[in-house]
Amino acid sequence: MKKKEVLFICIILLIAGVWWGVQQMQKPESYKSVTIIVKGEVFGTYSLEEDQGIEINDTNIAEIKDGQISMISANCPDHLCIYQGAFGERGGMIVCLPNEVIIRGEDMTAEPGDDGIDAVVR
Amino acid sequence: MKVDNKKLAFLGIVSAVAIIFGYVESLVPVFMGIPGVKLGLANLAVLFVLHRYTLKEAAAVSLIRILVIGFMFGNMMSIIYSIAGAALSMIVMKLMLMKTDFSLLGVSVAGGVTHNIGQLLIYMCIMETTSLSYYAPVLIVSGVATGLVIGYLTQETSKRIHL
Repeated sequence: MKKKEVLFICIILLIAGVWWGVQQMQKPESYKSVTIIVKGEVFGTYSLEEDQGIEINDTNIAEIKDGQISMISANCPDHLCIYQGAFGERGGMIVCLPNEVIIRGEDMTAEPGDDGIDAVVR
Repeated sequence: MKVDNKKLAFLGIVSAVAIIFGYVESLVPVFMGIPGVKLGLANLAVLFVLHRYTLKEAAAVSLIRILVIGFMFGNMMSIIYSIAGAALSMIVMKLMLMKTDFSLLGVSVAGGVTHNIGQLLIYMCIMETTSLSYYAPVLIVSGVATGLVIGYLTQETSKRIHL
């Protein structure tokens, strides 16, 4: 491998690193709920604090348990959305491509008045 | 029209190998711990043909592979995703082979990254959301990693196959 190619690869990795860094900075510290999007439209917003099962049309079933959401059932052949695991208040995303379903963390921390931790510190 | 029988037979074998690579990969849904990320073994066959012949032959091998794999294990959507990624990476790799003096390793890295970016762009169009750009950094890094592996394998294969 030539020097030029090493430099080329480093530049690509640098772009990815900066992109990731910007994403991390923009991300709020915690998410209290998740939004489910189906075919580009909002299907619903669900609180992570409440354990529940969510049927998404007839194609997928998501489950919120102990503050974590995961996909537990899907009718597509590859089940990649189930392998994507769970995410909680740290944020994340679960995508089911065949059924065009996206579950992503939603920023609710901007709402004033529900910041319990600050109240305790004061 | 004069048909180059040797080339025809060779491209047939390469296409068959590419299809088997695709099948083998479909058995492993989770690679490197990231769902959806694949090594892209079929890219080995495409890069090899691209290096030895022209864009036309590589496109033929790639299209046959995508159609056969798509009809056997996927659906219409997965065929569209695959064509988008394969077409973009093939064109970029060909341009790099022609315009730069990069080795197969560098060319393969560019191919791996553009393949992932091409697919991501198509996903974003179909799902009508930009939130998928969340995955871009992961896909770029995995494109570099798989590109290096495939580039190395292609280099070693090219050294050993003489026609």
